[in-house]
Amino acid sequence: MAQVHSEWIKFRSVRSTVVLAIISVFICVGVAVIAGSNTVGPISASNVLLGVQISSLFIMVLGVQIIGQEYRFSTIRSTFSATPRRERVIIAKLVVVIAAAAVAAVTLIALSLGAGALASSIQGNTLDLGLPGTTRVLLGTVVVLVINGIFGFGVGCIVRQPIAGIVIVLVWANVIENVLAGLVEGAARWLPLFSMANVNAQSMSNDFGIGNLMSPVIGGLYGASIALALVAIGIFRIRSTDA
Amino acid sequence: MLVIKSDGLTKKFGSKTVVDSLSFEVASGVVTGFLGPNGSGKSTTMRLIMGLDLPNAGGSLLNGKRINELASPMREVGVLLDADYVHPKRTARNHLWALAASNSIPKSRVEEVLALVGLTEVAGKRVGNFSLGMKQRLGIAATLLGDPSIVILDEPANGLDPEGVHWIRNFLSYLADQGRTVFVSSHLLSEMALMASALIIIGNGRLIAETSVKELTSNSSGASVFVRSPLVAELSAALVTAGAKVVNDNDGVVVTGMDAAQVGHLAFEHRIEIHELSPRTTTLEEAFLELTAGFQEYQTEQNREVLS
Repeated sequence: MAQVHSEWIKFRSVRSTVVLAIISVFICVGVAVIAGSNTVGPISASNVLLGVQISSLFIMVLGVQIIGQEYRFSTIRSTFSATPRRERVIIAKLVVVIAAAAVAAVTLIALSLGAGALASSIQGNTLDLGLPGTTRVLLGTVVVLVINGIFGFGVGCIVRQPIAGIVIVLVWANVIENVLAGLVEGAARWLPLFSMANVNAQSMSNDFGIGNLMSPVIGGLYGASIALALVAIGIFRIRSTDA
Repeated sequence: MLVIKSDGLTKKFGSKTVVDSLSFEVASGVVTGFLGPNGSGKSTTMRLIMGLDLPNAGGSLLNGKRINELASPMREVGVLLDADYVHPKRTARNHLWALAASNSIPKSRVEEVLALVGLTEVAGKRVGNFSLGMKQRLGIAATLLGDPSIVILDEPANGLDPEGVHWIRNFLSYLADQGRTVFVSSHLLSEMALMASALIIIGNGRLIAETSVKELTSNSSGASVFVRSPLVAELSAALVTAGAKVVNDNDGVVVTGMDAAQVGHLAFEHRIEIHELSPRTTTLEEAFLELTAGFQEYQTEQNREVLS
């Protein structure tokens, strides 16, 4: 717990990481307002939370930054001098990433639902939270954002350079997964971010036009496994190289 | 009791061996100076001791344990390797809070060390706005958070103005007076001569000497005796016959190869009256330069001539 407390102080005491979490929330809220203003008829939770796809990119970057900044400013040497068991530091940081992503997710869900409901009511529409799959959308959004945070953190642990880590996660999420899913038949199912497509979907789909996707639970477990595997590789690299 | 013990410490960066089978011991409760020319491997050695760099061979023990075996490292060893190892956007207080929390050190101790180094008034400011001297103070505050018995400092006076150097000098003396073990690398040899009880001198990553200031300066070839006598010619002849080297200096001679007692005894045996018999010790700087002459990584032509 002491190490987690230490990492939490580091997280909240640097503006850039907190700002990333706030941006991830307000991007989603902004999209919710747009969706609420432009949807005809009852609006679903998944429509209100369309911005989660963008928010998840910021949460990934946040994950990279939590470890990358330590290396960028060489504060990792102070950290490892105080806690020479490096895996303890990394696991404590992982807990902070999960907590920060979960708090951001819950906040963005609450604010987005409120903003979306308000925007749609101005248009004479209503937010319908009774639609099938709403619970999955809400819980799945938290799960997806947390896993994205872990994914970014894992990449950050492996490359240990914030700029390189951010480029990698953004290119992976926006380019590489799309190219592979489009070019290689059946690849989407096995890509870590695509594999979670059903985790927060209002209505499950086996085919987004890109192949047979996993169920929400299996997709979530698979995505989480990949993300945690990246963290494990990162811990191995950090333990076996000079700080 | 030995509190720092390094055995066969070896570190390579690519094909270059930066620390080469380095073994030394630092005793408890004293100030031990860690000296060596630039690029001799001092900082790397300190990082190896703290487990930040991973050795290719050998290892170090602190209080008989490897660094990652210490239950609460900051309570046993405080380290300042570089004052710039801080996040510029974090306040000084938050920097210390985060470090303290990792070792379950109470917040009240953060305020104590801030007051100790004189940073209380600026503790709420971001470290990026600090001068180098303030960062050094912050780094020293961090080393003292756990009230450790061992303090390791790498060039704590580097880049400081005279006032900062003065502060560091007083602070190291304060640490030593408290009975802490201080292992400090420094270019301030005159300060080291005043404070350090023991010296570890390395060159090209290898141990050159594990000694004391007194031993080093008295054993240096520069150590001499000045003798003034009305019968200087006779005395010089007797000294040369006895194997000493003699150089005329004003109204006396400078004798090397014999200590003052031997010169006095020789004069007595030859019934030569002497008016002055003064041992001249070499400064630590002179002894250090002599000892490390072949280990300087970057030498000017002038230095080469002087040293050759």
